[in-house]
Amino acid sequence: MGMARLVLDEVLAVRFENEEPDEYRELVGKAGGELAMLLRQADRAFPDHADREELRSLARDLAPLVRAPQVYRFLFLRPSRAPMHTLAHFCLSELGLPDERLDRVARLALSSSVCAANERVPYRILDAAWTRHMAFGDEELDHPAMSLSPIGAGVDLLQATTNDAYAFTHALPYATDFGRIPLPSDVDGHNLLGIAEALAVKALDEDDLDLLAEVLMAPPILRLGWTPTLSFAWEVLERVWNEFGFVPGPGIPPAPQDETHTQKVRRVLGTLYHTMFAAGLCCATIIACESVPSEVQQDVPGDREAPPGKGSAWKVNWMRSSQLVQDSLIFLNLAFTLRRALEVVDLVSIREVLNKAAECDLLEHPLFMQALEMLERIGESQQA
Amino acid sequence: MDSEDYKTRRNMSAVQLLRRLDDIGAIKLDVLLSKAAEIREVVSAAGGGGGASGLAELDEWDRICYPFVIRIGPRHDFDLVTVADELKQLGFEVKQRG
Repeated sequence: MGMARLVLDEVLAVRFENEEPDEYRELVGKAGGELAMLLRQADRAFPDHADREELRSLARDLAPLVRAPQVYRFLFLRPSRAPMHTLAHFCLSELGLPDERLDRVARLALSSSVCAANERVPYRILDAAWTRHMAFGDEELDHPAMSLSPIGAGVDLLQATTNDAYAFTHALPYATDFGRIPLPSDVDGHNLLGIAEALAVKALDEDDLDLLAEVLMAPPILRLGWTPTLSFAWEVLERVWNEFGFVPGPGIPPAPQDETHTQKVRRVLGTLYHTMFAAGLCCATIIACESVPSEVQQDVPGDREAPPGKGSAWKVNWMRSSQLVQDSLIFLNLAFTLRRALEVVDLVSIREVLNKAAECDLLEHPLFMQALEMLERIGESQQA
Repeated sequence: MDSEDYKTRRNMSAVQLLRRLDDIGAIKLDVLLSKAAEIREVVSAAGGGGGASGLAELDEWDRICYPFVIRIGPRHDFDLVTVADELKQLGFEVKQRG
C-alpha cells in the first residue's frame, strides 16, 4: 500500500500530466490498471484488515485518473481495445466506487460488433476475457483460448524468454480470476506446477524478482501445494523484501541527458513500482486462496555445495538453509545444472542431469521431458 | 444488465439498432447538435489528434509486465542493490509494513 500511495502521489497525480503528456497518459493507463487490479485483489484477501480505509482512499484517488475523458474517447472510437481501458473501472466498481455512465458506455463497447476485432495471442485473449468477466460474469473466463495458451500448450522451457514466462504467469490468474475459479478438470495441474518450478529457477538464475513474484502465484492458483523449490523461492522473495523494505525489479531504463526531477521519478518509480505490485498481488493471491507456503524451520546452516546458479539473491538463502532444506532442493540443483549445460550445449552434462532426474523420479517433469526430447531430436539428426 | 442482455443486443439487426437510437435521441439532429460540442471535447481530449488514427494506444504486450527489459530478460549490468539504490536516492521512504 505504501508503494501504491507513492506511485499515485509522485507519478500519476494530475499535476504531472503536462510533463511529457504522452508518457504520462501511457503510465496512467498501465500503472493505473495494475493498481486497480492490486486493490481489488487486496480487498478480497484482507476484507477486515486495518488498512481497509487506506485501500478505499487509494481507490478514490485513482478513480478520476482511470475514468478520464480519454477513456471515453477510446470506448467511442476504438471499442476493440475496450478491455484494457475498462479494466480499472470495473475493478474500482467492485471496490464500491461505481460510475454508472462509464459503465453503460463500457458495456456497450465490450458488446460492440467489433469487440473481439483485436488480434491477440491466447494469453492476451484470456486477459481480455478476465476484464469481460467483471462486466458479464464468470462464464467469460471459460474461454476456448485457454487450450492454446500456456495452460494448455505448456511453455518451451529449455530457452524460455522472459516473455514466454510472463505468458504463463498471466494466463493462470486471468483464467481463474486469481485462483477464485478452479481450472477445468482436463487441465494437467501437476504439469503446470512443474512449469512454474522451472520458471522460478529461471527467475532466481537471473535475479528477476518481478518474474519470480508472478510465478509464485501459481501454487495457490493451482491448489496443489508448494514444492520445496517453490517454497525456497518464496523465502528468497520474502527475505529480499524484508532487507530492502521493498522488492527491487530487474533493472531500470537509462537516464536521458538533462533529466528533470519529475522525469527521474517517473523513470525510476514508474518502473520499479511494478515489482512491488507483483509481489503484492502474489501475497494477496496466496492469502485469498489460503495457500500459505510452509515456513522453513531455522536450523544450523548446511554445508552442501551451492548448485551452479547465477544471480545473487538465492545464494544468500542457500547459505542460510539447513542441510535438510538443501538436500530437498533436488529440482533446483538439477535445473541450474541443466541451464548451464544448455548454455554451451554440453550434451554429456545434459545426459548426466537426465540420469540423475531419472534416479530421483523426476524424469517426467516438463523441464526434463523437454530436455529428453531435445536429445532425441539431436540423436535423430545423427542417423545416417 | 447481464451477459444475455448484451449478447442479445449484440445480435440485434441494424434496423432494430436504428430504432433504439432514435428512441433515445442519439440520432436526432437537435440532440446531436446540442451535444456536439460536449462530445467533440471528449473525442479530442488529450492523447491524440482527435481521430481514431491519432489515438495513442497502449501496447497490450507491455501491460501487467515489468516495464523494462521484459522481452529477453534482465540486463547483466544491473544488480538488486544498484536497482534498490536508485529508488532510495529519490528520497522517498519505502518500507515494508505489517
